[in-house]
Amino acid sequence: MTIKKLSSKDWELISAYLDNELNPRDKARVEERLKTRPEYKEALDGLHRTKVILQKAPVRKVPRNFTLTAADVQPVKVARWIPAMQWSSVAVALVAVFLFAYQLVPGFISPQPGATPDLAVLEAPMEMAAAESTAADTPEIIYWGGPPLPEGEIYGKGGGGSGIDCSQPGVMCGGGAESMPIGGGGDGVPPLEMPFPQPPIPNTLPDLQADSDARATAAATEPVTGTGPVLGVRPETEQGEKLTEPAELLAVEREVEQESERQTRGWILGAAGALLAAGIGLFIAATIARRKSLS
Amino acid sequence: MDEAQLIAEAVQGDLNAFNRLVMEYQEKAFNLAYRMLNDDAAAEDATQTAFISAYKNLHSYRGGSFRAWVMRMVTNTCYDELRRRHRRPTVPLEPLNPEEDEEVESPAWLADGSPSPEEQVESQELEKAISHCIQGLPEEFRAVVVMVDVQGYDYAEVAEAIGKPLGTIKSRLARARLRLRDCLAGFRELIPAFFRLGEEVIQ
Repeated sequence: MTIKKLSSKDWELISAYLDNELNPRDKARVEERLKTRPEYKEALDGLHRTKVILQKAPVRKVPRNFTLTAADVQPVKVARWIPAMQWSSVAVALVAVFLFAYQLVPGFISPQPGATPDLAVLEAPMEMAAAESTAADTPEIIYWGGPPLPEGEIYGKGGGGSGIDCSQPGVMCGGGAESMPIGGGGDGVPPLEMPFPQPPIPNTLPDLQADSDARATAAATEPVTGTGPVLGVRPETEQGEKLTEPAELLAVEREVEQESERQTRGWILGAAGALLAAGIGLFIAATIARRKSLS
Repeated sequence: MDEAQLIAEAVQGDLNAFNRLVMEYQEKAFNLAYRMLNDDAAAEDATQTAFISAYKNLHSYRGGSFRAWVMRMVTNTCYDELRRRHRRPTVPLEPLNPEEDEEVESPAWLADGSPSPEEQVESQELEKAISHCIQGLPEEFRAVVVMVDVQGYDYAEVAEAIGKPLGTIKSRLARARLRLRDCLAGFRELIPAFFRLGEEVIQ
């Protein structure tokens, strides 16, 4: 009954004492306890009886000799295709991992497709401009060379000319065709006069000045017709049209691009997954084939 | 020819020298495998596999007890077999004892059905009791208790054969003995002579 008080450490000591595998210090300790603690003696008796019974276990005779023959120890040849298959599976798996990393890890080898830093930098101000334009009134874009519009609706006019005598000192003119107040404000703002005298500009290019004046006169009298790349001149039917909602158009284009990128990315990830699965399958098949050839 | 010389020749590829070592250790190897697997055929296969493995890995033998090194091959092969059994459990083709409604542990029914002398009966009962109790032990305890108590190895050799520290061997052996003590107590009436023997030795 008292034997239950023994700890696992006590049992270890008693068991090792039985086999004379204790150092002198532990041996002396066990012998001391054997004298003073009856549970120690009881435990030792029980283990000793067990050991004696186990020592009497019948020895089984070997059913045959286990000596080896040359055929038993002949090295097994593994077919050449098995290692090749194993290595190729590793290569396929590596390619798959590379594809995964390329698609999923930002900044892995090269930036993600569709999000190049340059494009991102370009897009940022465009998005800001689009946001501002939607928040405020949408600016009107006027084709150059269009029919004359009433005063007050014209903003900027692209630096176009006006009825102002540009040859007067202190007056700045563009190359437009219609008359408008300087400053692009519309509403009959008086011509801006420079508050200080301008230094005389040396007339070093008399021919160019004359040519410019001639072209300005021609533009003012004849409407621009025809198509072509020159200054974005549009056909007559499109002249005067306003391009509205440019931000929305940009957003649509961006959405289309992103959708296309998403699809491409999906295809690549799918292909990478298929490659990985194929690599694992190859490796398992090669390992099974190798084991079979060795057994 | 001494063992060291046989080992040296076997390492050089001399199969005859290795076979002389096999003859020396095959009984202990087979008995260890049998106690661990509790099946003659499986023990036979494990012993053969262990010796083939030993020959192929002779270059990894770094001195010390060659017996412990061979037993390490045997225990590793047995552990592999036990793992395989866990993966693919099978039903043994042994008859059921209708009286006790439990499996007959000894394959003696295959050999001879005629009555045997009293000692043989007691020996068979003892064998049955020991096999039953050892099979009830956790697998990692079996090799330790068989090597120390059945085959008489010292702790250092067992540690070398099992590949575990001495403290682990001590701990496993103590726990295995404790379990075996409780288990064998249930066979006291079947093998009274052996219990008497144990008590006499203590006194």
